[in-house]
Amino acid sequence: MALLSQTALAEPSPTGPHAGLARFSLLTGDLDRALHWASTNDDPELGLLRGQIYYDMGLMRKANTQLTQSLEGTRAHFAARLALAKTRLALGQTSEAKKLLDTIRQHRSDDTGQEAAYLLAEQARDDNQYDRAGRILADMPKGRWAAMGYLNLATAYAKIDRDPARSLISLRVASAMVKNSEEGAEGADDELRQRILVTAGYLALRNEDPAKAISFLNKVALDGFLAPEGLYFHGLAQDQRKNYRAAMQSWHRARKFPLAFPGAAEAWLGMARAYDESGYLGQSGEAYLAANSAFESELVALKKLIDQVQSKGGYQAMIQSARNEDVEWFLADSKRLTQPRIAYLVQFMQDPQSQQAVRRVATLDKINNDLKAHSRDLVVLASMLEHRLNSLANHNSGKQKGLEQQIEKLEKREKAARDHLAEAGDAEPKQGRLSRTLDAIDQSISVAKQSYSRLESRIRNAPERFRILLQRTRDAQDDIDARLRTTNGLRQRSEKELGDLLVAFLEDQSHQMEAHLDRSNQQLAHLYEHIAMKRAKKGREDIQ
Amino acid sequence: MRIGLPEKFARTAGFWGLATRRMSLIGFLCLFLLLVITGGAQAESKGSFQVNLSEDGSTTIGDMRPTFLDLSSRPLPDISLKEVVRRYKNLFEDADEPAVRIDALHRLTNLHSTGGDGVELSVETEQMIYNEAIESYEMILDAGAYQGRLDELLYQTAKAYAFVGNDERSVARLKQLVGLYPHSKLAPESRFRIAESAFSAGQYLAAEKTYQQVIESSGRPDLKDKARYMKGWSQYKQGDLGQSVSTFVQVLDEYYAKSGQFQFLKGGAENLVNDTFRILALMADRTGGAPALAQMLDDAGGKPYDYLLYDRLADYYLSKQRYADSVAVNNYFIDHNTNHPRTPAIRAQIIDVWEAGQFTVKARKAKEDYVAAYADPAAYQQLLFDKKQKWHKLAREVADYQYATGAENGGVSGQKLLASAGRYYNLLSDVSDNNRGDLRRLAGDAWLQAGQDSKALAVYEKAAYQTPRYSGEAAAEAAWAGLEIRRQRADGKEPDDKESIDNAALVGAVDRFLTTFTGDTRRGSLQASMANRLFDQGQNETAMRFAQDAIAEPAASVKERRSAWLVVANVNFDQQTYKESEQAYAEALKLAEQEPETITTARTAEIKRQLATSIYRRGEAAADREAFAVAASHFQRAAGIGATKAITINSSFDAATMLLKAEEWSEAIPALESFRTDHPESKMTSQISEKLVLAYRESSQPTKAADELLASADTASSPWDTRLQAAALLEKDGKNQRAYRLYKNYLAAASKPQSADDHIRQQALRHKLISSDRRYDGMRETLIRREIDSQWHSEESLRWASASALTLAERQANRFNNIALNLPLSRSLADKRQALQTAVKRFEQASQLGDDMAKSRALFGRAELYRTLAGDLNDSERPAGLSDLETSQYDVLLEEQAYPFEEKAIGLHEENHQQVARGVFNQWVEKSLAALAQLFPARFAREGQWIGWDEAKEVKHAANSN
Repeated sequence: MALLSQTALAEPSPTGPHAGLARFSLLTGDLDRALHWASTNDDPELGLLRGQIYYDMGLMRKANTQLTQSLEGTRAHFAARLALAKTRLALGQTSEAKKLLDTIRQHRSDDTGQEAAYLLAEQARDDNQYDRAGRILADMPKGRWAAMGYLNLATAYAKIDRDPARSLISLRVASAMVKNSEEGAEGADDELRQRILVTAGYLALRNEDPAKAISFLNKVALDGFLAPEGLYFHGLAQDQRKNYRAAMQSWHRARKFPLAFPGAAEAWLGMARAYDESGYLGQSGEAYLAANSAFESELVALKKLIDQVQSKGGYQAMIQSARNEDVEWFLADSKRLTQPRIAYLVQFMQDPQSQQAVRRVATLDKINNDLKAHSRDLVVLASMLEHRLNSLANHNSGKQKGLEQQIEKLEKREKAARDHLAEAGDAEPKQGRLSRTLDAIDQSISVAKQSYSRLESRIRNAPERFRILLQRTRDAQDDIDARLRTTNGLRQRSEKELGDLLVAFLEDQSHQMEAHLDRSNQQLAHLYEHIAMKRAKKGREDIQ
Repeated sequence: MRIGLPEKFARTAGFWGLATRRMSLIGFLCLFLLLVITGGAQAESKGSFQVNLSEDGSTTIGDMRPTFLDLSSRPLPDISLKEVVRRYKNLFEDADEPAVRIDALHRLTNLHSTGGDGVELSVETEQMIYNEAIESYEMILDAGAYQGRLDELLYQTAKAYAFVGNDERSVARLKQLVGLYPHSKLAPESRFRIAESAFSAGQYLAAEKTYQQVIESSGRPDLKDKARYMKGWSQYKQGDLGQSVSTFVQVLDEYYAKSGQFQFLKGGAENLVNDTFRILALMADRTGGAPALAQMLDDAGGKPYDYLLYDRLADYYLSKQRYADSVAVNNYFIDHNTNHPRTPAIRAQIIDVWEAGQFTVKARKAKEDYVAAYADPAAYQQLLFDKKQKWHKLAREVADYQYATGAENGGVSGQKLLASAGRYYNLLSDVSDNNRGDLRRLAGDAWLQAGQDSKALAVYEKAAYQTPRYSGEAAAEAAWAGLEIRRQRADGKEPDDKESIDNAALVGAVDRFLTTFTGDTRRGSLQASMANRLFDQGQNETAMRFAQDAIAEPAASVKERRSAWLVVANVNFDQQTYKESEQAYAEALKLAEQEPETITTARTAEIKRQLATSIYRRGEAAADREAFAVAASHFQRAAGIGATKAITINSSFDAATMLLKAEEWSEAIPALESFRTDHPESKMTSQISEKLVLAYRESSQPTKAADELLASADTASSPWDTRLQAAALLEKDGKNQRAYRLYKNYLAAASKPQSADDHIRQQALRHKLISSDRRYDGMRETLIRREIDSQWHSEESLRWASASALTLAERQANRFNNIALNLPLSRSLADKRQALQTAVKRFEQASQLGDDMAKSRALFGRAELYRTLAGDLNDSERPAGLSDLETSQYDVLLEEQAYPFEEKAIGLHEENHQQVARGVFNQWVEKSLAALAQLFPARFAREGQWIGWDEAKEVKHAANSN
């Protein structure tokens, strides 16, 4: 989404305050508010924004309709065109999408153009047209999009080639395409680089070139979630060189990561196998048993998570339980990465569909909360209005009369003072100053009299006004209630969708864990068989 | 590690495991991770993670610092095969992964087939498990969920059916496989199994055809060989011997080509090849033995492994106990292939055959043939390793036999056998890895007994010195034997060849022995005997070296060391280095006394003599350089050895003499005394006394010296001289009385002096005695008399005699003075007169003998005698009763009587006084003058004016003269 936002920034922006507010909300991920602002009038610019917001919200058909309509007859607006292309890709309208993407990449070389080229290359790759994909990527300027393209191309080559040469070349190009730290690399660049390194390491390993694999894997950062996978391959490479102790160092490190991360479970088995290779059969057995135990408890943890997701809902069980409504809360605290729940969440969130589902629930939750807050405000307002109304009804007119009399009394006293001053004449040395004081007092009393007369009028009209306000408040309350019901319904649906995704994901993880457990048990049985056979053979020899 | 099937995981895979390849753990994981990776780069991936798991501060994998991993050998779990089976069962039942399940099943079945540890399955259980497996396979097939290949599944299913004994269904599945997947890699095995099934069912033609298909198909070369072999059998079963032979030869050709000439046949292949040989041998026998086999091979165009077929045929005959036939086959081969590399093996086999039939003599002859055939080094070198080993064994055996027989038989034939044995031992020693030294010794022994000394010597020394890893006692024995030969040669034994051995060579050989065998127990004996030998030959230097080595040799016996010491001693004695020779003799003597039983008394005595002589010579040397004390010490030690009497006496005497020379009196005296006591009979004893006197005297013991002199005086040439020496010594020691007695005796015994010295000596002795003891006062008379009578005088003797005369005169004078002139006057006067005369006589003697003083004294004495007489007369007792006249007359008478005496006195005093004119003036002259003054006062009692000198007058006179 951040990438999309960048593309939005790169375009000529819609004008007007609503467009600005809508754009701001779109950039900050506040899609509902963005939509609110973008829906204020029929400005075609706002229409384009709406289309992009629909795409971000995952409302592909709506986005398609809106963007198609808004872009009709226009030539520019490539960010919106890109959104439309992606929408069409999502809807399976690939040929239309490809045409759009081709147009965009030919007209723009900025981020929007690069993304378009990337997507086009990905389409070629999906169609097994690797040469075409390569040509598209070759035309791209240096950058993350090109790097991702090459990385994916390398992976594709790896699937069909026995010789990793083409793959490794692609990876080298990919690596060269990513900005390095001197060039102001961002987090995403780093992660991409890590992925390139791990992939290169794997390919070298598959080609039985452990030294090369190690040279790649050595550069993999230990603080990323690719670390366990990198460590596992690193261990395998060491193992290929019969360097079992070094392999164990890597696997031992990888074992510290949650089993949710690729490579961690394999490292558990690798450790056991390395003990075996090193001749420590006893420790190997223990390591397999430890792996079994780890896998079994992970299965229990997964089962518990699934139960929680099913009973509390995915959002509550997996995300809100961490006491943060921000979808990206988990990125802030690295320590929680070591917890299985978070680890699985991180894994789960790798999938855009998952991200969409979580975001949807989060957004609905936010809307819900906003509505509830409004509703609470209205209740307060209504009660205040009612209170005022009541206080007006009990209004004491005597108090009002007293005020009037008091003003008259002051008027008289002022007059008397003025007379007294006139009598004194010039005998009073301060006559001038006193006279100016009495003028001021006279003016104040005059204002007080006006005010009193306005008050009286307002008090007379007040009850009716309050009643009107109260009615409006109650109408608003009803409206909010109705909307709350709607969002609640939507939220439940989204929550269920998220829950289903989570359960499917967690069940898939469970299957994988069971497969690991099977493998571990199998290897343990092999080991025990070896030990038992050896023992039996020795026993026979002893007897002989 | 390869990303593939880990080695260990394949360790229990059996034959049926061919198709049970499964994806390895790692492979599985990699594939899984690849799927993860390939889904990795998504456009929507989120921003970076700030995961901090790098607890050691490292940021990348490359930076990662190793942590401590405990690698320790834990006790292995006590897992039984039953438990393993249980685990596989659980896996098979519970695992979701088909690959895991199938693997578990295969493991399970494999375990059951290997059995043991109580995991054998009952037939029912096995049936049940395989039924279940079949169900599982069928289930996987039906489910269509099997990701692997269907041909594999069919194969597995067939396998399962085969396991449960349902061959029909198994073959049916295999046929299905072959039909559906004729090019599957499993097809060859499947066809092979189908063919096996046909062969089992006796359908040989069908089997032959199917085997042929396997042979023609691609892949599985291992099955092709088996198939060809089985094809041969199928043909054989059909009675087609010609085709069968051809096929079997093909089988052999194949294996020969690919197994490194049958070198690397593994497992079943070896059995297969063996069986092929066996059947071909069988067929050869049926068609006529070795010639038939030769024909068969000719037909096949000759084969490099033909010898194996001969071998197999020979084996076949052997197995049938047809020994001669077996040997005939071998001989046939040898005759036609003399230089064939396998010929040695065939020859060896002939031996085995004869031995198997217990034909001892033939076997031995065969062995001798074998050994002789390869005795030539060139022929031997052509042998392969094992045949060389064989040759070693046989050569040893033959050599041992020849040695024993030769030694027993003796004579020329025996020597011939021994010489041959020696040759084989020697050859063996050069080619054996072990026992080279022993073999060389044996060769040496054999040659020695065969009379071939030089060869024996050479081989002995080779054994001893040029045989690696041959050392210690055995090598020493060899060297010793060599030394023995050399010694005999050196001693003049006639050599069997022209080479002779001299002493130098013997010395060299001995040195080599000693250098090499540092721990040998015979070293001492060898060194000692060499030392003696060389000493006898006058090679002192070398003899000395050996002797010293023998002495230093820890292993040398007492006797050997003694012998060596004696050589050292003798050499030193010859070289006059007596100190060293003494030391060596002493060592030898010590050793002789240490083990007296090893030496004769006479020899010990001789050592003592030599020792004493050495010491004596040292004494002599010391005396020559005037180191008398040292010499004395040596002589004393020489005497102390207790060697011969002569040496002891001489040494003792010389020791005493040297002590004297060294002025070591205190030591010399006891030495001399001891000598006199110990050797009274020695001629030299007579010299002792004199030496003792000297020693006593010089050591300030004059009395002892005197005693020694007196003891010998009687026998001395001039006894009185000796006694007088003794007396002088006694006197010196304060023993005066003894000395005086000796003097007195001497004077008493002494004859009239015959010389002036004699006289003077006697007079001196008298004087000494007189002046020292009143008891000898009586000698004065003799002294005076002898002096007067002697024609020789000395001033002293005269003085002594004069003094004695005066003394006697004084005594007489006193007596004279004391004789009162009493009445009757005549008698008393007579006494007095006699006394007067005696005194006068003595005074006269004194005057005669004495000097001026004595003369003055004598004159005065005589004068006083007369004056006293005159006075005494005048004062004599007057007779009583005289009247005054009478008295006066008597007085006048008396005066008249006295007057001449008074005159005489005056005259003598005057005479004395007149001596002044001769310049003699002494107290006696003065006394005489005083007496004169009394007697003749008018003349002599005057003031001496005429000779006085008045100074005042002289001054006055002087003044007047002016």
